Amino acid sequence: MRTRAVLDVRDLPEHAFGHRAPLWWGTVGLALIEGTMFVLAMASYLYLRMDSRTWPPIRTPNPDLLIPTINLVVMLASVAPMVRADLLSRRGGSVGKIRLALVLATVLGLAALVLRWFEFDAFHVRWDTNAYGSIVWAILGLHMAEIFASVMEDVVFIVYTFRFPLDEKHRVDVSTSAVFWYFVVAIWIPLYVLLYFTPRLV
Amino acid sequence: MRDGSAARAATVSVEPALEERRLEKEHEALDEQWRTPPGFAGWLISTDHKSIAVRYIVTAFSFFILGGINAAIMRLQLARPDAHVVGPDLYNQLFTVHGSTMMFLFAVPVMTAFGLYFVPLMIGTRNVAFPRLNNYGYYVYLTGALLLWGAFLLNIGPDTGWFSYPPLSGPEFAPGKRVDIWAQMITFTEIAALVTAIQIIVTVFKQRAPGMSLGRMPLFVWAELVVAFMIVFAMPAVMLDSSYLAIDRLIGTHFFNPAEGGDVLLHQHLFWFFGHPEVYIIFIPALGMVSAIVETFARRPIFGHTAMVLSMIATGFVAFGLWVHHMFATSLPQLGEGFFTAASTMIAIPSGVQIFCWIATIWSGRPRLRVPMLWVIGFVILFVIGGLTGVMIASVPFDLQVHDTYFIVAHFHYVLIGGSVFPLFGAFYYWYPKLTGRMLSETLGKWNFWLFFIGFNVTFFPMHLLGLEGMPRRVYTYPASMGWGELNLLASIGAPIIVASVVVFLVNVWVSRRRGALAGENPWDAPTLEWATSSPPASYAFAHIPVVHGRTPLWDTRDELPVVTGLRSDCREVLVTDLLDAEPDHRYGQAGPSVWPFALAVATAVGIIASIFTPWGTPVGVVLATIALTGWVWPKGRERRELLAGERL
Amino acid sequence: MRAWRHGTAFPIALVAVGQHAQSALDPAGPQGDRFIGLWWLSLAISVAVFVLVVIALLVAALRRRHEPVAVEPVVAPEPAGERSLGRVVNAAVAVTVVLLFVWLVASVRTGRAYTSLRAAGSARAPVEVTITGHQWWWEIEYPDTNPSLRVTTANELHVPVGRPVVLKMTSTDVIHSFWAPNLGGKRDLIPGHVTTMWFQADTPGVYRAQCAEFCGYQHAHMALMVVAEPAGRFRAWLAAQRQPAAPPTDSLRARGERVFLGADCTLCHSIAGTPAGGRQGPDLTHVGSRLTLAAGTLPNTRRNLAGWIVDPQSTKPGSLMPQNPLGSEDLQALISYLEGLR
Ligand code: HEA
Ligand code: HEA
Ligand code: HEC
Ligand code: CUA
Ligand SMILES: [Cu+2]
Repeated sequence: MRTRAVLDVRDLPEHAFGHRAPLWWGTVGLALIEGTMFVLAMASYLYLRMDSRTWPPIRTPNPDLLIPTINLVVMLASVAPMVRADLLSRRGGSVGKIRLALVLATVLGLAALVLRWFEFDAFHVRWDTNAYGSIVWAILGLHMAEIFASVMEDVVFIVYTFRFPLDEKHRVDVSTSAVFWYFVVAIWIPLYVLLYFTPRLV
Repeated sequence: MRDGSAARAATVSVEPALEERRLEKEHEALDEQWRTPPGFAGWLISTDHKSIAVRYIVTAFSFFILGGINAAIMRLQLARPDAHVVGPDLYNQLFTVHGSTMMFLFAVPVMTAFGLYFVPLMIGTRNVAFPRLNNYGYYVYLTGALLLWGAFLLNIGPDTGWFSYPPLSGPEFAPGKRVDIWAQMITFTEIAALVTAIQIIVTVFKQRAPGMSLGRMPLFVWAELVVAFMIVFAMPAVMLDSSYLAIDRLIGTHFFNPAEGGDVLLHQHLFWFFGHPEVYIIFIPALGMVSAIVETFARRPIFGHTAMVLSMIATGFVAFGLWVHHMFATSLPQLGEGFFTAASTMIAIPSGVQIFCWIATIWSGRPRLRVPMLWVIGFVILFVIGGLTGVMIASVPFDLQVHDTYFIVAHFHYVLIGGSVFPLFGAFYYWYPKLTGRMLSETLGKWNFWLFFIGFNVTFFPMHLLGLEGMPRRVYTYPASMGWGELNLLASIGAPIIVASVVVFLVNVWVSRRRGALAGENPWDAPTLEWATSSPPASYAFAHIPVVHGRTPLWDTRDELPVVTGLRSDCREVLVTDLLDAEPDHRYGQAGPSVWPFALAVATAVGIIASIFTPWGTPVGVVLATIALTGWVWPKGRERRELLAGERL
Repeated sequence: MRAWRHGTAFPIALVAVGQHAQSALDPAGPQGDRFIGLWWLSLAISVAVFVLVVIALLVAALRRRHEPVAVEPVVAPEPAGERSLGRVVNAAVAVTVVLLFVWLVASVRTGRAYTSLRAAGSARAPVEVTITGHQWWWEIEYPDTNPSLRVTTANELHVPVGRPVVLKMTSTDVIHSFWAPNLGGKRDLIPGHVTTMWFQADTPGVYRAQCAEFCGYQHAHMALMVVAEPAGRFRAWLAAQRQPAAPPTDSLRARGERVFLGADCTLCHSIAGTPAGGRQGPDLTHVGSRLTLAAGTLPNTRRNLAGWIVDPQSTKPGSLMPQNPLGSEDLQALISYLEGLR
């Protein structure tokens, strides 16, 4: 079929941030999937609760609050450097600054992983003790995997910045990876309330 | 928005039509960039959505045949009462593997595969948004498929049905690895489905040809988009569910163990929260195919385009509120019953709207009854039957009688085969010229259709009566005294007719591949953009991205196609447009072939298969995957050179 | 619909007591009747819809087949025609909505009717029965406040005609589902849950029920006989079942009892009035009085009984009862003993 040129896109940019970038939508899609999974995990938690007269089940104390709460704070704190890395890479900030922000976020992320390790003990129940144990371990584990994934991504970026210049493409990558980080932290807030407070409220 | 205006400014500067020689050169340059390296290596690392989609289609269809062979053996066993063709153990594996194969390895993959091939072409772009991920998805799917069938051939195939209810599928009553294999097959196929879904969503959102606003998108693209979203919200449920089951069996959690506060119904809720949408995930793409075929052969745009779109979206939404209609016999509060009955019957309205709109389109058009159209007519007839029985069983008192009987088996084969496989065959006849450059034989096509149509009804219509006469499903045999012999024999006579039909189809494909009439760009004079490419399409699909002014681009401007210029031809560049009106936004160079997606697929396979046997499978898989992913994103070859060069300047 | 009842060749033993074909289209109780109403309504709606749709489709596809195919596609069909088409489509959708609404109302009213019938029934002192599902047989208990009056049996449910029966059901292994098509819908037996259903048999006779939820190897052979009999006969049956097994009178049956107690039958079976107290298998106290063996798999005849005991696996592969190699005398004695348990 003959063609007739009616539109020239030569002067369009070669990169874009935020919702203009396909990668951003990919990340949002991933967050949607994981989000759905966590919502369903919460649903399972409540469904199992309906079967049990007492919650946590008899001979299981309420979960501790100290370490989990510290961890929540740590995760929330880790958002700040991530936001900074995001903005810096959008505004073409210097590699050094971006790297610093990423390192900070990673450190906090690792801290969250370590704390999460102790968070399992906070429930005084094993995964194979009863259904309650199974579901709380499952939720903690699933979310731990999310943190691990985002931290690894950051580490890769940091190593990258030592080896290569941070071109536009990779700036877009950094700022989109921040989106997933926000999600991982955000989703933990309802999970935290569910796991640590709903058992206490009757 | 900024670049939008820039682009509009560009529209003013209309160039004259490009002359031949420059075109030639340009094509070579493009092919240089987009072509997949030849040979097995190329196959391994390909990022071309077309070759990957064709792989998906061929693989899925092979599993249709394998699953069908399962079915043929089942029909042999059920042909006579108290038969001994197969024993209970093998029979249970047969229907489990048949169901799982048809749903997870055939229907869903083949439907999304057609999307992977045609969505980019229909919206006028050169590839999907994440080409490497696409390749990864295929290998994950393949591993899952081989896992299931390897196990079945070793006689350790799953044997607890395609929805494996615990406790029957739990550690206590299903020792051995059979159910774990089922659970991990689910994980594999769902990962693949999710990857494809993201793929389609982002491609449709961001890579539509300039001017193709959402309102101008072809109905098939809409169907694939709706389905992609349904996958995103449905699949996590079954992945979570099969993981619960797997760890209940592997490390002794108690999700489904009533003795320790678990609940077997949790599995049913989670499974059907996925399982019901699943059936529409299979069905809605078929609707898109029907719309594409009807539009082309009725020689007019679909009547009620908007109504069609809204119907598909409505079906997608409501589908998430129906899952309990698979659990009526577990006894629910009456209010719940009322709600789910109402919801289940409501879904008939959007289906009806679409049927009526197609009929209206054909009525007011100039229908050409070529083979694809035959399949469409067959589809309407059979799907209406299946749909109507669906509405019957949506009623709780009705369902309590026929639940888990052959009435249900009849219902879902009418909707699955009549409602999805018929349009699929139609689509195959319709798009085969585009896939291969040659037409399929019309005569063989007619034989293919009529044999299938007759064989199908002979096989499945009697099952309605069998169900009402009290024959439960999933029974490996039945006593002569029940009087179910005649109808079962009849049903079994139908199966070989279907086999014959499928064989005719295979012959047709095989012969036409070489001797079929040459198709040319647009043999059916169809209105959508995939027909603006050569048949089969070049590696880069469009030398120049088309610009769209209506819903039927190739009918709107008959003689020449308005196109975009200025995309780089020295790298794999695609045009990114904005979500609503497809205003040009920016251009970006896509990643090319790479071996890392395959590596990641291997890591995934190792992790998941190992975790059938040991809890350490998961951590091992994670480590391997991390390595593969790092390799994936790490700059290499040309990108690396450019980066370092850029640094030195 | 009677025409749909095939194969009248039921085993003699069952014809004798008026066996009915296991069919939802041959109702014998209020629920069954209600279902038939629903069935004919839905069939009528469906046939109407189907015929109309198919006629419209075929006419649309064929009415123009003699005209020359238009070369140019119609890109913008003229509005007038579109508007009239629109009216027709809207009308069709409206009809659809109406029909669906009719169907919904009919369905909900039937559901209500069941509950109200049940309410009315419970006023008339319904018979309560507890059913426990096992792979692959049914344990049936008639509870009673007085333990000595409780009755435990298997695979055969006796009910009085014209009186509502309430089933309280659960399972100790996997999910099963109770379904007596002629008498009404089905209910699952779910471990960890107690489900209840009720039905009422209006015509005396034997109705076959079958497990409807896939439950493993022998899901196909997990049936249950519902024996509906006049109140008098039912009371007599219940009284008989309450008795422990009568001690053997003749020497042959005495030997049979010794064989039974000697072999490992007692690990799994109980016979009231003897030391045998196993619970894995059906209670055999009155096994001789039953119509069938092994959950409706075999008519209860001497040959079948012998065959079953020696080699259950050949009739019901995977059944949880092992083979029992017995000397022929011992076997004959054992059979006579079990047959005598009426
Ligand atoms: C392609 C797949 C597909 C499709 C499209 C459907 C469509 C529908 N299905 Fe089906 N269904 C399955 C696949 C599908 N189903 C499968 C696989 C199972 C079994 C799973 C298992 O147990 O293994 C199942 C089981 C199933 C059950 C559970 C039965 C049981 O297990 O006891 C129910 C109950 O409500 C149901 C209902 C419906 C309804 C109401 C529709 C509606 O969407 C139908 C709507 C369409 C029409 C009604 C026809 C067109 C409309 C008109 C022409 C307008 C006029 C119509 C009227 C006035 C009524 N389906
Ligand atoms: C899209 C889905 C799909 C498709 C296409 C089919 C196709 C068929 N199905 Fe299946 N079926 C299901 C989905 C599907 N089924 C599901 C989900 C279940 C429930 C499983 C469960 O209960 O867990 C089921 C269950 C099911 C049962 C009930 C089993 C039971 O409950 O005991 C039966 C019984 O007859 C059956 C029969 C058939 C038959 C005869 C076909 C035929 O149409 C098959 C036709 C195809 C072939 C026969 C292959 C043709 C090709 C050849 C053989 C050519 C070979 C030659 C060369 C290679 C050159 N199916
Ligand atoms: C390991 C357990 C076990 C042992 C030992 C055993 N049985 Fe059974 N028996 C069963 C089970 C379980 C069933 C139900 C099988 C089925 O219907 O699937 C059964 C069924 C029966 C039935 C049919 C009951 C009915 O109403 O359908 C008879 C009769 C019977 N057994 C007799 C015997 C005799 C006699 C012996 C000893 C020689 C014996 N059994 C040993 C477990 C056992
Ligand atoms: Cu018990 Cu099927
Ligand atoms: Cu459904």
